[in-house]
Amino acid sequence: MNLRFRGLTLAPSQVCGAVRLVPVLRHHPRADLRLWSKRQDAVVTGVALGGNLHYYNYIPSALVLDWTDDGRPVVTPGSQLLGPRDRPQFIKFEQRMVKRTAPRKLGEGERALRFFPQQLALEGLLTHHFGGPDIAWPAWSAQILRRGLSPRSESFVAGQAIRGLDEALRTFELHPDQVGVLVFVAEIFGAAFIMPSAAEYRPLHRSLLSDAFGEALADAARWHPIAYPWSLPTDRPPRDLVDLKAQIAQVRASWGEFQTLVTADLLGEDLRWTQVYRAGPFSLARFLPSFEPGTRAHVGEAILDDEGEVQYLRTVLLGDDMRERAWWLDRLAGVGWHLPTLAERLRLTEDQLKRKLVRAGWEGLLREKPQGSSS
Amino acid sequence: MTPNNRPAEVAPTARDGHRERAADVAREDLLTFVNAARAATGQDEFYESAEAAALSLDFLHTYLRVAHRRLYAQSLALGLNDFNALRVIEGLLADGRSTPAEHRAEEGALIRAALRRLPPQRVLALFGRLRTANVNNRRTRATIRDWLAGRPDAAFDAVKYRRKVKAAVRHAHLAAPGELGKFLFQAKKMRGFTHPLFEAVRKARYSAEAIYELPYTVAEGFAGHHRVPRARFLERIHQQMTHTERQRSQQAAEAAGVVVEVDWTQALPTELVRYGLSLGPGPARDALQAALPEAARRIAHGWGLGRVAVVLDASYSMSGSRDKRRHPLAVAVAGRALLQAGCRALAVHWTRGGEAARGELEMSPQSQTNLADPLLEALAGGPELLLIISDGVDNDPPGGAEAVLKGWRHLDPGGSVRIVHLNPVFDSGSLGPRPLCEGVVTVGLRTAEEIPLALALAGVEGDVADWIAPWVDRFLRGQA
Repeated sequence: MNLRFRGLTLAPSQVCGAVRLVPVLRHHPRADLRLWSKRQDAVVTGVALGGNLHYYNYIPSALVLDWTDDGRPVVTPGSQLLGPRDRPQFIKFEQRMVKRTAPRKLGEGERALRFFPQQLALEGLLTHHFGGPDIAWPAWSAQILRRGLSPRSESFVAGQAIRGLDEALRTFELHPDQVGVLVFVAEIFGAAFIMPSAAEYRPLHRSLLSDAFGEALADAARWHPIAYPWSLPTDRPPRDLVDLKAQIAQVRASWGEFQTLVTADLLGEDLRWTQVYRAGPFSLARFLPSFEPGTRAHVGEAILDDEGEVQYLRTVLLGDDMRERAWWLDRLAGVGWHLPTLAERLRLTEDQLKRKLVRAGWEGLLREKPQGSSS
Repeated sequence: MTPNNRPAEVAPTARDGHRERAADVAREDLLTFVNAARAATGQDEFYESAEAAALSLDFLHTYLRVAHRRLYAQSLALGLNDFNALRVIEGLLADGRSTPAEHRAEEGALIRAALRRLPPQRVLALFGRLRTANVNNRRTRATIRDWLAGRPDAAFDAVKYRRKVKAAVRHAHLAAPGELGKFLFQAKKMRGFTHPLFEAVRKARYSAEAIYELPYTVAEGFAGHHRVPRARFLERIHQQMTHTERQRSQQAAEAAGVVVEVDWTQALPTELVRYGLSLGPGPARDALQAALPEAARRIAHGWGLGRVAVVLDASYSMSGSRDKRRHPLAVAVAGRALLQAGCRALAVHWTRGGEAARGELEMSPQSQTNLADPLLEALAGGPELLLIISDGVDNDPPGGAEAVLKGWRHLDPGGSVRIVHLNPVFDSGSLGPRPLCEGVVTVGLRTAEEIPLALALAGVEGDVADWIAPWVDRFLRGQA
């Protein structure tokens, strides 16, 4: 299934240095869905997973999702009627997706859902074939057979590390209907960030700086400091003022069409979706790309409504090394983790295949190092 | 010999062609410099840092001073902003040796005339910089001497800017006769002064009552010394405040519950608007909005412009920077008010149409820049003069304004509509205010009150030395 940007239009992009930001507009936001950002009171959170396992995360902000089943508008969270001298009350609304060490009881009518931006998408990548081999073929190391891919890690850079992104976000002129942005660095599509409504997007505009990005983008910004200029001139002299007006309208329309064309295939053809949560008419889902060589791999998370319209979207571009590691996992899983079969299918000797796995960073999977391997 | 008084029957020679090209270069150079020096203030802009601007400005100042020394001095008559006028003077004084003998008198007169117009605290700060830079030639000393001698009240200056005056007097090797010298250099030894202001300073050290005879800024220091409550201090001192001090202490006064009256109709419209834009809704803002037309009329009633259309940019990039918050938008709003008073008929087109129907001081700079649509509307109205006040960055669609202006040139090849782009923002990359479109003049603008001068600059043609002479004349006679 591909991602469709239905209900959304693209406005002409704004360029600053190597960074091109394409505004995403939504003219008719839904009233029965709200997604707002919440500052975390405890920045580092610990969760007991049972047994001896504890899960710790550091996340500076979270998103809280609120919805109604019957299409009634959602009340703006935290709305209070106050006198001029009253102080606003702070109310806790939401339930965390993960259970805390001491779970809080839910009150009557409480139903909001909290999740961490990008965490769904990145967890989707990290837990891909996390269990390791299904069959204990002798080629696999004892560690992998016992514990799966744990600990699995990938590294990303924060938006601050992308040269010029800060400046581009600061000088960007937001449209009144803007609900999101597509980020290009040196014409590489790096991230999409779409929110349900403009009021919810505006405060989060600068939060892109603390998001995770693939390292490739930081490199691109360093080596290609200027974005390629896109311009759509009017080539024909106008007949009169009305004609001139029509030409300008035409230019504006072609910006939309052109960018829709450019961005149509951004996330790749075949995304693999997993629904994570169902909230009334909305589903919270994440997707993985095909990881095929020669494609840019984006993982992401989205909230889709019952008509398949994107209400929330956040994507992360993976580095090519990450893509390759995930691709090998797919290949291995496809043959039931049987190395000889895969080697035959790829027309390699088993040793060559092992060397390729080592080079991709999967040395820990193998019981014995391949011959001729330097490390 | 200039092209204007060349006998018509003589065929142009290669030498004449060369001279004309030189005149073109001089005009280009002067306009580039003046445009930059009217807009740039050495502060952060929305798109540019102060450091980048400083590099560009340094280059422009040095280049013009070395290549066109006389024009550089004469540019003082063309409404440079205070920051750049001071830099010009500093550069001229520091490098007096390079002045050709025949221009020395004119240059000296220009420096003296420019210093007379600049605010005293800025001039004294310039003297301080000359001192740090070890610039102490005879002309510099004479300039300092003349400026101090030309001040209306030496005692007041000595009290209000004591340390700076002291430094200037010392730097210029001046004699400070009588009590002035004693006040500047030996105040602690004195048991009493006959001049009431000096005596008030002496007493203010011991008595909280004496501080109310002092200038506001000096009294403020003593008020801290005597721990006078803010409200009581403001209530009694406000008679001593200058107009600008009244303007800027409005919020402090309101917080202290004191009324410091200020006649906003006497304020400069750009300053009035800049303050108004910073206020929330309330009676203070309404009062400013009400005073704006009168303040504008006071300045602009003699402009005598015809049918004018103005396109005003209210996009997010007009918010300026932390150094000059909302300054570009303030220029646009004040420009609207001034033009209303200064022309026969005005059509106003904001980039976000409709919003301007509310009070203009309620506007905040936000959202994308769509100059194309208001430009089309403005052209459809058939004005004689079309002004655009914008930072020159349009992005909805990018290049939209350029496309409209280029298209319009095809429709109006004779140029029946005069189009001028006024830009309050310095762009260090292009060494001046960012242009909108080739063929449309872009002029730098520091405040909206200077629109007539900007229009004059936009119309310069031919030999710039001829053009500038009457401006210099008027400037030296104290009219411009």
